[in-house]
Amino acid sequence: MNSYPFYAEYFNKIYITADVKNTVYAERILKRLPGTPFSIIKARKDIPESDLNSKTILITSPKGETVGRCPGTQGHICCNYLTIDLYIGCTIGCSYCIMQSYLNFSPIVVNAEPEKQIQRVLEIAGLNSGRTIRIGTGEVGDSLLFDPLFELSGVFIEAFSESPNIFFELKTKTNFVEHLLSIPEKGNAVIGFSLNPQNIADREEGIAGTVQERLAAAKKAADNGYFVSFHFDPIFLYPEWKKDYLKLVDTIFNEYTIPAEKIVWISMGTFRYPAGLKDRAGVKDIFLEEFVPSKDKKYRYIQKTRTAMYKSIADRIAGFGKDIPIYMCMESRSLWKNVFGGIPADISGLSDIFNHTRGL
Amino acid sequence: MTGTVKLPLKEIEQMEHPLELFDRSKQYDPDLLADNLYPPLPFSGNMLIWGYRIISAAKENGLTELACKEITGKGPLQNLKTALKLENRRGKYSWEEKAKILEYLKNNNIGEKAVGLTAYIEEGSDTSWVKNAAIFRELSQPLREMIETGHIDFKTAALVRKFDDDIFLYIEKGKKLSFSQKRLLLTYFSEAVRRDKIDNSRTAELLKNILSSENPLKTVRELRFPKLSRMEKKYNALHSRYLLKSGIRITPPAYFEGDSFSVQFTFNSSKNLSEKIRKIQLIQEHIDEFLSFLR
Repeated sequence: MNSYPFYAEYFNKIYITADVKNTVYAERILKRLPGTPFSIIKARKDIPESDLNSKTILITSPKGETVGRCPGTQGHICCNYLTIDLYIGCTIGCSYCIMQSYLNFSPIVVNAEPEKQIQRVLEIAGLNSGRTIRIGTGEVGDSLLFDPLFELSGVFIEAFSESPNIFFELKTKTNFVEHLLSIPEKGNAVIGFSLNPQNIADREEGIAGTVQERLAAAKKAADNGYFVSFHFDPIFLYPEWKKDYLKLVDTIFNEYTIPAEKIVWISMGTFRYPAGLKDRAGVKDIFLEEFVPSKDKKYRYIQKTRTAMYKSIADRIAGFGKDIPIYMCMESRSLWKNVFGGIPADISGLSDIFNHTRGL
Repeated sequence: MTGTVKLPLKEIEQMEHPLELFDRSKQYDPDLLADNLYPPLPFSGNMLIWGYRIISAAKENGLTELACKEITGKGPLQNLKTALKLENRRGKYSWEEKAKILEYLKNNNIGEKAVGLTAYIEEGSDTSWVKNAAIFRELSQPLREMIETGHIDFKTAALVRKFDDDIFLYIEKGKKLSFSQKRLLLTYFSEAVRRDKIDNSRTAELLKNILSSENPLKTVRELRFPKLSRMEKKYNALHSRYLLKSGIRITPPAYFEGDSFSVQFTFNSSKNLSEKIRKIQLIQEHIDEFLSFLR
């Protein structure tokens, strides 16, 4: 799926706001999708209602605060990750995607003025000298799905390459890394891959790359000087979950021989959902397990079950490299105590990752 | 387009009625009709586009003719839009009506335009009515009737549509359940059947057993949440083993989600308090058994 015809076939219309029409990114997309109709508009509100869908792409400048914090959820421990909204919206079509609940009638938005965001991150990094800043573009969209078209991520990577405390992460379910390999200075850039066993990917992850493709891309990225990360999120419970997830861990280290020292962190999160997602998705097998409401009003597997799932996967990973930081995404204190014996602040190697960033 | 003409009721009735899609149960106000206050009935050639409710009311009021207006040069989609505009009940169409609208579109090979009609049919821009109306068309008659009579909501009916119709008769004849209890019961039941791959031939019998149990909602919850139910039973047994008639209650967090138990007891004398404290100290020796529910 990594080619311009793929995008040309998918997108019906391009809108570009006047403030970014002369940028290299606007020029790039018009050159790369020459047959796709486009319009220059003043603002997003000028897009007709009939084009307010994911077949439309809007190239614009970032509005408001350019750097945000992961919103976290009530009663759960957040890793204090910082976010940049670069590509907003995703067309991969994962059945469990929470974005489907609120980005339903939106075009894919590309914030094509990276200078503002870069400037702000550098400011924050300056205020947090000596502390790790973890920041990524994968919060509201896949970091790399549209990146071959715009090549925006490379601008960030180069801009942050000399900042020792910035770990800039591109989180993806694709294998679209080729265009990033030749960037000369990568600094602490991280390419993060969301992973699930192939049977889950086939059933629930739309047009995402196969697991083999993602792991091959991870290996290539690591071999070419990037840090990599892996996100087992969401982890699904089904009769063969243990065999499948442990095999997936083994595949990373045995088959693709990705060195532990290149893996900057691994996160885990069992499948959880707000009630609205189940309503929207209708009858789907992923909602049929036993779920209970959590403090943040999302539904999760029973705590005892989650504990067993996390422990199994974390233990397997630790068997390949005890120093790889492993953490859980949006989990309660109880789970942290059950799985790791304490909360992140008490765990060596994690306290740094879970830093609360100043200046935001 | 021509002006308004008065046509005999009989002649109007004999016209073709492909757009008779709307519920006739709510009659047109007879007083308004008596004062000749009604929109002229649109027709095209030998086809009536809208006004069936007015015709019914006219017949009951002994009228012999009605004002009509011929609409020419419009296709089936435009005619439907005209009917929907005159009907003017956006957001209030029943599933039966939406299914008929969809059928009309399919009969006229304009199915793909259904989404574009949303503005005339629903309050918001949610186009899921098209998919759902198609599901409604496939439902069995008893289920459709249950929806139309308010015995069950569409969402639940869609969940259980693959079950035999017997199931719905059991529910109607079984223990009195409120609308929301019925919805919960059917939702849990259908989810459990689907997850546990229970054969369709066994579902009726299973539901019959659930409905004849002392507490159908508790029984169906055990079917839908077997692990959680087992934990609850096991916890209650543990609690009884150590604390039966002690006047002390140790409560786990809701759904065993959390890390803290709460302890509750009352006392009425110093001696009584000492007894309770002693009992709690004894429990301390077995506290891992309690904590294991959260780990």
